[in-house]
Amino acid sequence: MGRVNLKVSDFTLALVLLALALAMAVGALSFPPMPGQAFGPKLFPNIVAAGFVLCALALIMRAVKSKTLAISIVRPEWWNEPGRRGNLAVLLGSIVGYTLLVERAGYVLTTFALLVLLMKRLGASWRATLFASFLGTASTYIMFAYWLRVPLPPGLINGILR
Amino acid sequence: MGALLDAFPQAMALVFDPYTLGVALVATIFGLFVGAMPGLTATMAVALLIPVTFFIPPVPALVAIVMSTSMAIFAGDIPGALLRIPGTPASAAYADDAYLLTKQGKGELALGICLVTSAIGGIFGTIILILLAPPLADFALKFSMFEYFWLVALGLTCAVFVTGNDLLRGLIGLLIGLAVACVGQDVTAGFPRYTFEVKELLSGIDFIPAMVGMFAVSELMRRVTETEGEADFAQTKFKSFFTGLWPVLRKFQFNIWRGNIIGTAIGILPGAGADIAAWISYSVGKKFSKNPEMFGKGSEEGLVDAGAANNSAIAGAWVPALVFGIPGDSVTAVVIGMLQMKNIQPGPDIFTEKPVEMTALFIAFILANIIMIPLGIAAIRVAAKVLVIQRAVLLPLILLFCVVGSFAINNNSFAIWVMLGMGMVAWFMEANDIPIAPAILGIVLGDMLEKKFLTSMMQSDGRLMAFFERPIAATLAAITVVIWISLIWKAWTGRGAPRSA
Repeated sequence: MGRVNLKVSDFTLALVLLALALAMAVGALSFPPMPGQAFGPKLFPNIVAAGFVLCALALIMRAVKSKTLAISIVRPEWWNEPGRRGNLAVLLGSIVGYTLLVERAGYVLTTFALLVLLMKRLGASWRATLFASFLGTASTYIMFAYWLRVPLPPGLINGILR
Repeated sequence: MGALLDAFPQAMALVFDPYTLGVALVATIFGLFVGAMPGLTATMAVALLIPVTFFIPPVPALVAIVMSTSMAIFAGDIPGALLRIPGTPASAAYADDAYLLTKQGKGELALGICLVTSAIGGIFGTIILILLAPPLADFALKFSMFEYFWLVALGLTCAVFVTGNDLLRGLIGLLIGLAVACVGQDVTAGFPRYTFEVKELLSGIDFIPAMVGMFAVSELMRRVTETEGEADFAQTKFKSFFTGLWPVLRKFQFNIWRGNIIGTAIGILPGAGADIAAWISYSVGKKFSKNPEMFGKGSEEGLVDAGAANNSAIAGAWVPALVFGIPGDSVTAVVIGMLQMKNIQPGPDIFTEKPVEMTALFIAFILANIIMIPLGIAAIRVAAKVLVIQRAVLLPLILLFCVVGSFAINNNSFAIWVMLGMGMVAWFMEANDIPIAPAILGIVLGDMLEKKFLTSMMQSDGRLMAFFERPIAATLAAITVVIWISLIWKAWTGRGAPRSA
C-alpha cells in the first residue's frame, strides 16, 4: 500500500528537532535545582534536548552527504485527489467540535451528530448512516452509562432517557 | 511458585465466573474483528479496550486483554490469506504465501496452518512465561536502584536496536517518548515541568488517551485519505480445516519448535513484539529451508515458521512487563499503564503480592489458545461477510470508541485534546519513518528511568561510580554500553542507515 503522508526532508526534520530542543532547554531554565543535590528537575529535559541536537546534527550530516540540504515537504500522493484533504480536515475538525460541544449539548446528541457527519462525508448511504449511528450511540451509551457507570455529559436527550 | 499454586483454585473460580466468561467472549469477538480488519492492529484493540477495563475488576480486565490480543494476532492471518492484505503487521511477513496457497485452492490448509501454529505458539509462549517469570522475579528481588536503572536503560536501548533499519530514526522516536514523559511534576522535587499552568497536565500526559491517539487516531487520519479498494476474495466457502493438515505439521515440526523459541525470545526483548518475531522467524526459516525459493510464492514451510512465532511472542512480552515493569512490546506497554491504575504494581514481588491475579492471567492465556481453534474457524467462515463492512461506517465508529474511551477515564474532555494531539504526533512520526514503539517505551519508562537515576544519586551521595560497583549492575551496564557502541559504530560506518536513499 502506498502510504505517503506528510513527509519532510532530513534537513527539515533536523530543524524541527532543533526547535524542540531549544524549546525544552529554554523551558528548563526556570526549573529550580534540588537543594543539596548535584542533579534536579533540569537534568532529564536537558539530556533529552541534547539528544535531539545530536540527532539533528546526524540528520544534517546525512543531508550534506546526499546533497539534499534543503527545506522541503513532500506533498503526499493523495494531496491533489478530490476530497482527500477535506476528509482529513473533517475528521480533525469533528474531533475538535465534539470536544467543545459534548459537555454543553450532551453525549447522545453530540455523538449521533458526529457519526452522521463523518459517515455521510465518507460516502455511506443514508440508510447505513442512520442505522449505524443510532446503534453506535445507543450501544456506547448503554455500555458506559449503565454497565460501567460513567457519568457521561447529560444533555437534552439524556433527561428524557432517564 | 508456591503462592501461585495455592492461588490456583481461587483463580480458576474467578476466571470461570460467568461475568468474567461473558467479558471474555465479548473481548474474543472484538479481538477477532479488530485483528481481521486490515489496518486495525492488536495494540489498537487493547488501547480501545483499556477504558472499558478501567471500570471492571482486575481479573476480567486481564482476561479481556489476553483474549483480544491472542485472537487479534491470529485473525490478522485471515485477510492475508483471503485478500492478500495482512490484518495486522504481525501477519505481513507471510501474507503472500497464505494468499497464493489459497489461490491454489489450498485455503483450508493455509488457514489451518495459521490457526494451529498460532495456538501451539501461544501455549508454548505461555509455558515459558509461567516457568520463567516467577523464578526471574525471585532473582530480581535482590536488585537495587542501580540494577533497575540499568535494566530500564537496557530496555530502552533494545527498543531502539530492534525497530526498523534506520537506527537514527529509532533514537529520535525514543527521544520523543522521553520528551513526552518529561511533562508534569518532576519525579523527585515535584516541580511542574512544561505544564503551562494547565492543571490536567500536572500528573503528566495521560497515558490512555495518549495511547488511543497514537494507535487509533493516527490510523484513522491515514485511512480517511486512502481509497477503498473492492474486496476481491480468493475463497469464500470452506470445507474442513484439518484434512491434510497433520502431515504438513509433522513434516515441519522442527520449524514449529524453532518458530516458538524465536517468537518467545523476541517477545521477551523490550520493544519488539509479534510483528518482528514473525519477520525474523520467517527469514531464519528461509535461510535454513531446503526450498527457500518457495518463500513468498506459497510456501507452507514459511507459513509454519512465522505462524508459530507471532503468537508465542505475545506471552513472551509479558515476562519483562510483569517482572520488571519493562514492556516487551507495545501491547504490554499499554497493559502496564492499566495495571498501575488497578493498583497492581509490576515488579519482582507481583507474584507474591497478587498471586490470584497472576495465576488467573496464566489460565486466561491457556484458555485463549484453546478456544482459539473453534472460534478461529467460526471467524474464518464468516470473514467474507464481515470484511466487506464499509470504511465509511467503520472509521466513524472507531473514532467514537476513541473519543468516549478517552473521555470516560477521567470524565474530562481535556483527555480528548491529549488524544488528538498525540494522534497527530504519531501520524507525523509514521509519515517520516520514525518508529512508534521506542516512543511508547520512552513514555512508559521515562519517569522510572529518571526516578531510579536521581534516587540512586542521592543514595550514593552523587558518586557516579556507584552505578558500576555491584556485579549485576556492572554486567547490565556493560551490555548496555556495548550495544550503544555497536549502534554508533554501525551508524558511523553507514551500515545502520537505510539501504535505499
